Amino acid sequence: MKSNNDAIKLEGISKSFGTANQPSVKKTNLKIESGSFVTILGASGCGKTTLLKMVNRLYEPSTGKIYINGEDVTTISPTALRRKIGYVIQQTGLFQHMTIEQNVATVPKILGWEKKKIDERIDALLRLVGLSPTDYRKRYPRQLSGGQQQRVGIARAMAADPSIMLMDEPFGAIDAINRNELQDEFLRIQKKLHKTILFVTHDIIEALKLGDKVIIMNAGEIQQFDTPLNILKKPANDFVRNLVHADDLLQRMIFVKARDVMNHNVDSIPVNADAVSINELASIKEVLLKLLESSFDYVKITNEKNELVGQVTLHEIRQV
Amino acid sequence: MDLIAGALIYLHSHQNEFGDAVWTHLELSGLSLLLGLMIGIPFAILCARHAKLSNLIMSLVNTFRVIPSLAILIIVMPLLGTGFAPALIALIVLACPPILINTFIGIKSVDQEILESARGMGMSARQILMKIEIPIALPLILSGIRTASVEIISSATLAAFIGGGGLGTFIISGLSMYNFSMLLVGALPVALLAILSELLFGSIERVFTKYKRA
Ligand SMILES: Nc1ncnc2c1ncn2[C@@H]1O[C@H](COP(=O)(O)OP(=O)(O)OP(=O)(O)O)[C@@H](O)[C@H]1O
Ligand SMILES: [Mg+2]
Repeated sequence: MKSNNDAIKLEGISKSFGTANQPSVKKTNLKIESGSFVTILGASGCGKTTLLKMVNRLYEPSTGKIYINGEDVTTISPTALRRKIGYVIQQTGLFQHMTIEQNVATVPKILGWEKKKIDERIDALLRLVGLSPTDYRKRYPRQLSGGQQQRVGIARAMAADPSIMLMDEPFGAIDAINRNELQDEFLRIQKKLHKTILFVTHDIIEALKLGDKVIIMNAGEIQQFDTPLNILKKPANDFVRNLVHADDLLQRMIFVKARDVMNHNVDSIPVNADAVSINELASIKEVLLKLLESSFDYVKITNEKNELVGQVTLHEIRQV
Repeated sequence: MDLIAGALIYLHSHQNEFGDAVWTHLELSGLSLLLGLMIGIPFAILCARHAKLSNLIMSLVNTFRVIPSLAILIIVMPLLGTGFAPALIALIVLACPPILINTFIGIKSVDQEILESARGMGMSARQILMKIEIPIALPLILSGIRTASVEIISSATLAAFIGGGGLGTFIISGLSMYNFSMLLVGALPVALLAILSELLFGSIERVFTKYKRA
C-alpha cells in the first residue's frame, strides 16, 4: 500500500498525561487506508478515546507524528483540521439551545456556505440518517429520542462532507434493538459514501460487525489490527483470543460475513434459479441455517443490487 | 383618598420637577445597569476561564453582596463626594454581583460534552463563547440582569441621600416635611418602574428559554 493512500497515519505516537506514571497510549504505529471502516475495540480506560482525540488534535501527542492524507497535522491549525474531520461523541453533544437544523448547519455556516446550499444539505443529511426533514428540522434535541439524537449527531458530523470521521462510541447510549438498526443503517450509508471511519466501541459484536478492520487495544497498546475474520481465526495473542472467545465456533460464525468466505468465482459454478440466496453481509450462521433448510448444497450470495456475487457451500463454512 | 388627590395636585404643580426626577432616575438606573453589564459580563467570562481568579473574585463579590445598598451609598460619599457620579458608581457596585455571579454560573454550567463536540467540530474559542456558552447561559444571565435592574431602580431612590437626584428626592423631602402626598409622588413611580422592569426582563427571559419548554 502506497503511503499516499493512507487517510490517517500514526508514527510513533504516544500520550502521557501529566502525573500518570503509565502512558495512556504507548508507542503506536498505524496506517488507516482511505475509505476503510476501522473499529477500535478495548476495555474501559485502555486509551481508545485518547488515541482518537490525538487525530483531530483535541489532545496533542507526547511523542510521534500524525498525518492526515499525507499532511502532518501540526502544520494545520486545529480549527481548520477539525472542520475537515467529522467528530461524533458518545453523549451526542448536541447543542440543546439550537434546533436540529441549526445543529446540523454548524460547520457549513462556519465555512461560509450559501444559505440555499446549507438548506439542501440539511434535508439530504436528515433523510440519509432516516429522519424526515419536515418533521424534525425545527425540533429541539430534547424533543427527540436518544436514538434520534444519535442520528442527528452523525448527520451533523457529516455536514461538511468530511472524508474522515472519528466516532467515539456513537451508539453507546442506545438500547440493543435501536442499536442494531442504527448499525445496519450506518453500514448502508458507508457503502454509499466510502468515508474513512475510525469508530470506537467496547462492544465486540459491534466492532466485528461494522469494521472492515478492527483494532484491538489493551492498556494503551494495539494488540492486533486485522480483518474481523483474521481476528477470529488467528488471534495475535491470548488477550485477543480471550476477548473474542475465538474458540467457540458458533460464536465465530456470527461475526463472519458471507462475503468474507464465499467462493467468488461465479462463472465456474452452475447456479440454479431455485437455489436460496442471501445478502453478502449476512453472517455465516445465517448462511448455514439457509443451507440446512435448502435442498441444494450451496447458497447463492447476492449484493445490495441483488446481483449474484458468489456462493457458499459447506466447504467454505468449514474454513471459518 | 385625600392623599392621592394631594399627590395629583402636587404632581400637577410640579410637572417639570417630576419629569426631571423620572428622567434622572431612569438615567441613573439605565446607565448603571449598562456599565454593570460591561464590567460584570467580561469579568464573569474571565472567571469562567481561570479557576484561581474566579475564587478570588467570587468571594469578593459575595462580600459586597451582603453590604446593604444604603451603606454602599454612604461609603462612597466620603470618597467621591456627592452628586450624580458617586450615586452612579454606588449603583454599579450594586449591579455587578448578580450579573457577574449569574453569568459565571451560566457559563460554568454548559455541559462538557457540548463544549467537546463544539471544539471537535472546529469552532474557535470565540465562536464557542458567542454561539454556545453565552446563548446557553443567557437565561441565567437575564435573570441576573432582572435582579440587578430591580435592585438598581429601588436603590436609585436612595441616591437622593447623596444628592444624586431622581425620584428619591420627593420621598426624602416628603418624609422630612411630613408631606405624604409628596412622598407618594416619588414612591409610586419607583414601585411601578421596578415592576415594569421585572416584567420586561421576565418576558425577554421567557423568549430565550423557549427551547427548554418546546
Ligand atoms: N484529560 C485527561 N487527563 C488525564 N488523564 C486522562 C485524560 N484523558 C484520559 N486519561 C487517562 O488515560 C487513560 C485512557 O483513557 P481513555 O479515555 O482514552 O480510555 P477509553 O479507552 O476511551 O475508555 P472508555 O471506554 O471508558 O471511554 C485512562 O487511564 C484515563 O484516566
Ligand atoms: Mg472513551
